[in-house]
Amino acid sequence: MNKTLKNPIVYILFLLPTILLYCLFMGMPVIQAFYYGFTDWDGLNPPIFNGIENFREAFTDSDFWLSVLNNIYFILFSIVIQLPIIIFLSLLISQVKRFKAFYKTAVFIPSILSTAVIGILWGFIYEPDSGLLNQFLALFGVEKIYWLSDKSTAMISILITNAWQWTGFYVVLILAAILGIPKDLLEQAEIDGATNWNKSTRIIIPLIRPIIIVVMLLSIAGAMKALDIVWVMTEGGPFGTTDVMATYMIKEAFREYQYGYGNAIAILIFIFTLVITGLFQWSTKNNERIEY
Amino acid sequence: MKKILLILMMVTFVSSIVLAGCSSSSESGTGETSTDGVKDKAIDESAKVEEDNQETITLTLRHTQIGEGKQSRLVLLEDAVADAESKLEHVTYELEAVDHEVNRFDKLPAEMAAGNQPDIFDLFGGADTIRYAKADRLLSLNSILEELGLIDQFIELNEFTVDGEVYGLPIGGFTEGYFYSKPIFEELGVKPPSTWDELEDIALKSKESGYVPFAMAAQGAWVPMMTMNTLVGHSAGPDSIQGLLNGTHKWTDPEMVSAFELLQDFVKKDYFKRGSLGLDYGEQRNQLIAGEAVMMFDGSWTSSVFTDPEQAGDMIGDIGYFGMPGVPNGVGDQTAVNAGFSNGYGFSSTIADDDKKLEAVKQFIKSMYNEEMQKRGLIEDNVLPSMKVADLSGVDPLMSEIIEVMNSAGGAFPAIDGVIQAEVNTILGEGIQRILGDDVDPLEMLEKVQQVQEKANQES
Repeated sequence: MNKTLKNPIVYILFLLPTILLYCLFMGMPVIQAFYYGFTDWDGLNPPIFNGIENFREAFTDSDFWLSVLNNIYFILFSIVIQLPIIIFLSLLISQVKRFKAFYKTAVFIPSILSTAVIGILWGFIYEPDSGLLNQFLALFGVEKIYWLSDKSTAMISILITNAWQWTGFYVVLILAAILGIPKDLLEQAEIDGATNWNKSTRIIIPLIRPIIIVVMLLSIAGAMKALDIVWVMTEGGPFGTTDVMATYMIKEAFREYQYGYGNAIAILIFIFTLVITGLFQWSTKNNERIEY
Repeated sequence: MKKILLILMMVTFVSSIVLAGCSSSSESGTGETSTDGVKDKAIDESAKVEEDNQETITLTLRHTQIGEGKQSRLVLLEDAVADAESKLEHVTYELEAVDHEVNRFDKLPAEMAAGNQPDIFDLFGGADTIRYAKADRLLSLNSILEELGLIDQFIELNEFTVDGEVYGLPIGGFTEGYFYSKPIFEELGVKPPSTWDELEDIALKSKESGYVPFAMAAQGAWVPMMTMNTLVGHSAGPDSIQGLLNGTHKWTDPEMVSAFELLQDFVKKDYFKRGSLGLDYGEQRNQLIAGEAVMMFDGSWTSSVFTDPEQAGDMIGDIGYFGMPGVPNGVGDQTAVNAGFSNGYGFSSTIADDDKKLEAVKQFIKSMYNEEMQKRGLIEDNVLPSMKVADLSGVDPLMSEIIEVMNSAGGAFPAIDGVIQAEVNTILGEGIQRILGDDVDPLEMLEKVQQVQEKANQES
């Protein structure tokens, strides 16, 4: 028996079903996307090879670039606004002495709700006539705001909802890292007269840097493939101003029957995500890691 | 020896998993099944087949009768299916309900691409039918209609006809116009308008009295496109829409531009509910029922909502209907209406080689498309008949108003989204939404639409 388990063929045989399924449902569609991305295909008739025409069209398509810009907004919002809030909340929860589990659960709940539920929930909050937000703002004399139907507020409304959904998930990740820091380190700092601010900025944040980088990486990858929240809340509207690359891809492929062009956009999403996450990893890999 | 045996056992195990994964879900030609429940049913039915020495067949039937507003239509479909099943002993129709937009724009196109469309499905005439017919996905119905003696019974089959072959059967007809609140009209001291100035006057009075003149929910571009459709038909003439395909008319023609300027004028005058771009279609009728809006441009199918006490509430009997008045400097007959027979059922071309399924399709057509069902559709669901119905008695008063407007119309023009190509439809819809958002100059927008139209015309 021991001899059998040392035979690599045995392992290959055990892995074979999974590898076959992976190739069938992951490898094949990716290869097909690359193939159809270079064709003019309406989804019904045989595809016609058209070289890089789809990519040329994408690069000159202002609507596509608007969707790319919206993906960038997603990234910037995650990194510049959401991440500091996540770290701040994590630090707060790590300091509380009572009901820590309650706070952890409370912030985590939005991330276990389905996006459809969150979309509808926030749809009610943003409702112009009877929505919670406008009613609250009306107390201060603010005029009615058409959150999801005005192009100047629709994108930020989606970004806030998306941040609300995922903040709790990242808080739990960072909190785990904070709670993993040896207590004696922080106690020593306290004895040396460090304030809470000093402890947070000089000790805790540098020590949890690796997990912060992971959170940033996950945020970037999540932002690049954002789709469901936009689809549920605005379907890319008003008039395409909240389209992200993925919703634009769906519209082109399934609404306009330009499956070739849709596949080309899918390839571009893949390449852009690869480049951005690659650049991010490269820019963060050389930094010194603090061991404790 | 032991080692070889072990490896052999593992190979058998792995192969059985792979083969099980690759096996087809439908067995012994009992029909395509998609869920465990359906499979169980198929297995049960197979047992019966063995007993009776006859084969049971199952046809998948995709419909879009979801939600309160379509309840009456669902009852009619279920009755037709029950009738068909009672006539054919070994046939089952598996009903599958899918949202109208999901079916039309996502699910059916994907199934058509893969060639695994349902046996019977909700289908739109015009561009959709042409697309699927040219890819050989639809069953030609000419010989069936001939055999059943139905070929002359339909009022019009143009939207489902491609190169002389009929590929779908409309379940009913439609027309579009203004529904209005009779109590508010009375309060304002106005009557249904017969000229554009009168319509404007009512809109102005409504606004001054604190009402929204025109209900609107434009998250889906097709909703404001209904208003735009009739504005185009009146301003540029009933032939203009078809003319966009053969190049006799352009989106940038002055008459076409002025139609869009009329919509823009309404926006600038604040005649639509603000924030309408974030509202779903159902919200539009709610604005009228709740007494917030005075008028609403919509299709005749909506009238069933206003005759249902659960949906219309106190507004039962208080909703009227009039056609859009002629526009200033309009081309052609200004009483023409947007009307057609564009929604119905299509059938999969894969049925052609299966005699038993073909028989089941014929029975479905017999049970669904007859004078009794058409009359019931008119009375119970307020849908205009697509077939010739001799007796029109017992029709709801609102429906009578709609039929009256239709009968007095000097012509008809088709729905834009049923005629123009998908890519033109998308950019046009977005352009109309931009006008509603006061975000674009109509001419500038139409120039872009025309560019896409010309490209699409060349390609097709």
